[in-house]
Amino acid sequence: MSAQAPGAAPWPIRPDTGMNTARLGMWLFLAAEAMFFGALFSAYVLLRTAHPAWPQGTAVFSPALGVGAAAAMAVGSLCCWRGFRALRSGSPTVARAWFAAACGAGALFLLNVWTQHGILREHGMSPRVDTFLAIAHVLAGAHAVHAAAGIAVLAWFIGPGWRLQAQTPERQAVRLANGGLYWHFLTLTWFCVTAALYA
Amino acid sequence: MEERPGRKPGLGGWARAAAARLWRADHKTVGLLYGVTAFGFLLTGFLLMLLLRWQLAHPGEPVPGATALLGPNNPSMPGGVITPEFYNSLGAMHGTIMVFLAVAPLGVGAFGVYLTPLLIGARDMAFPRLTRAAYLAYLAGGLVMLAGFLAPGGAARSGWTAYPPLAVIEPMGQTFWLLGVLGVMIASVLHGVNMIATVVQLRAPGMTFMRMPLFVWSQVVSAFLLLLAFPPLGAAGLLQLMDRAVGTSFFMPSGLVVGGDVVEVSGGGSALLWQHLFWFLAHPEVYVLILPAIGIVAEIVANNIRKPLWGYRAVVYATLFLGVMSFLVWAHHMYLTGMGTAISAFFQATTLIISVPSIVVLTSLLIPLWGGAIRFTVPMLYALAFLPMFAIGGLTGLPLAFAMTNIHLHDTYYVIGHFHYIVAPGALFAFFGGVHHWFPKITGRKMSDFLGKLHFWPTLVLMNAIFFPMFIQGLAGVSRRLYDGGMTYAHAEPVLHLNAFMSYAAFALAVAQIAFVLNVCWSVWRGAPASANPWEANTLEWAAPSPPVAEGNFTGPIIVRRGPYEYSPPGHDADYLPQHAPEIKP
Repeated sequence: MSAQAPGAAPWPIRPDTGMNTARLGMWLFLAAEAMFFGALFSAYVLLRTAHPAWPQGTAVFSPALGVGAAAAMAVGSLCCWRGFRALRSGSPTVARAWFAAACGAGALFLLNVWTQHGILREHGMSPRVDTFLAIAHVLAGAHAVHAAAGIAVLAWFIGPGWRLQAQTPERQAVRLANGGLYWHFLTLTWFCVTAALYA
Repeated sequence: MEERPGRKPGLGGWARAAAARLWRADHKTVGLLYGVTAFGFLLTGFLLMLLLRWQLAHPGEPVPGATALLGPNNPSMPGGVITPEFYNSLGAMHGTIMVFLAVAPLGVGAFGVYLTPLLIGARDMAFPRLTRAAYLAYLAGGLVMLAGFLAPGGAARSGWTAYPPLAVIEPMGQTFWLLGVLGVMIASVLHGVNMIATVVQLRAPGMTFMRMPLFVWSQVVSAFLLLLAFPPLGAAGLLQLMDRAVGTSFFMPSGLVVGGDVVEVSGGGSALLWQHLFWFLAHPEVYVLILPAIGIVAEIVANNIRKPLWGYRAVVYATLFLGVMSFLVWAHHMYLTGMGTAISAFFQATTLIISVPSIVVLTSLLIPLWGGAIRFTVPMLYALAFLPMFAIGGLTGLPLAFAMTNIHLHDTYYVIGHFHYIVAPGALFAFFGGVHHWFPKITGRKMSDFLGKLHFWPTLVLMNAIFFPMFIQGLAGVSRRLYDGGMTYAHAEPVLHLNAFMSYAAFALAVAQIAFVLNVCWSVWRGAPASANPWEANTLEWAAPSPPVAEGNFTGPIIVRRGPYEYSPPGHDADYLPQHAPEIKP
């Protein structure tokens, strides 16, 4: 590992591969995550094509809550991107604030999903009813569990884990950037979930 | 806690020291833990198989000693006789344990985690805590799966493939199976991330990709397969868990009747969906079982023929191609599901294509034997036996690849014989050879040649005695998973006598393994001391002391100057030239 030139990424990069080990690890992890959700979407396609009358999502789910959830994820992603830019420009405190805002957006997202779930439960629309509601619950639930875990980890980085900033700032920078990367992945996945369930 | 000087530590002190040692996240400790754990699972799976084989040789007769051990009223073996339900559990758990908990963890966990950093000149894996986390997830998954034997109704009994709707309506043991699979999936993903990052980022200076030993290539490709193929099985496992625990119908068709009663589910699901998702993992998983074995054999063969391997680059590209193609062949396990001739034709074509790189790899290991100054060491015996055994396993797969011949052979003992030749005298022989080959590096002592040969020859003969008759039975149309071994079928009658023959060969095989266990135990304490490079090998692990330095593996910096197989180089006195050795002066 050699130190990177000023102005470039604030973490060490191996010259011959041009990569940071932790960043590479995150990209690989996202590939596995993509395969996980990809399998769920494959199940969705197969179940939908086999269903005699696949319901219209807008008739089942609240469109307003749907827009709100997607917006919360998008805002969270935007905050992560601004935090990443602050990291690159050498302003870790500003970055910390942006990542904290992302965590707030994430909490709103989870609240939104929980509310939607409560409405469905009130109307007796459990996953047992049919394959549409079953796959909807699994897609949204699996995503929410991933989002909750991601938010918890990111919150730990900017909370108790902030002491790493004083010890090894390059490690703190790379793990925050990885948190942002994971967020972008979850945002993209949620857009796909929304399209699948509402379309 | 620090012990007072001059006083021996008490039992608590030893336990704390042992726990601290086992909690280390360095690749050597975790690699050894993988080895011991996977070997324990291997023995467990083997014992389950011995029970199975008893039932096949003596259907309905009590297992000797079972009543004395378990009592006369054990629900799984009343009066010592294996019940049909327990027989199904034995089959399902034997397959699952062997594939997910024994053979794959031996190849990618024990050999992969211990050796890969050494072979690329690294101090450790890229993410040591991830190494330990992956091992713990694997261990937890395995223990949960085994705990299924204690669940009401016994362990999973829907085969290692866990096909619904049967798997959905089975007792509690299937839930344990699914939770165990999720644990193994987490372990596989973490390992995949760690292994690829290690090889890409931690290679020693000068260790270009095309100077990496084939063992390392096999580990990288296996890691990609684990990383990308296991998550779909995790997703499928989640859906099956939902079907079992919540009552959804992902895999449950409408109007399903079980035992004369309509199952009360909403229906509309597809049992075939599970098969697609399962085999999307399970076929690449076959390559996770065999690729590390090929890597081990390549190292042993190269070292023992004392000349360069033929076609290094061809093997690398073939291995990569195998990895990619292994994602495109999964539905050849599903020809009989009525998925249509066009789809069958596609998967038939891809399956035939994947046989080409397999042959390239095998040929590249066979050709350099010609004209080599072969050393018939014990590891080399295993490696040489691996080649024809793997070839038999691979070539007998071709009739299964054709949709037409598959109709006759599907779900017969022919299939069992085919894949056991790949993983038993195939992968396991490579692992036995690998243990003999790297034992001096790990312990600083050599294993006994005498005990090695005493294990090798009977094991070779007996494995063939077990698995070859399966081809004969399968061609006669004997189905797998029959509780009575086929007694009730007239067409099985001419080949029924082979059941007892195979079973007694299996019992003898168990006895033959004593030599291996003895050899390992004896050699750890009493084996002849080994130098740092006792086999006069080129690869980097032999540049480290035996055993390697606890922190960092090597005693000094490593710079790689050449490829891994430059044996008998012209202009050099010795018949080997280590990768890190200085340039030869003219």
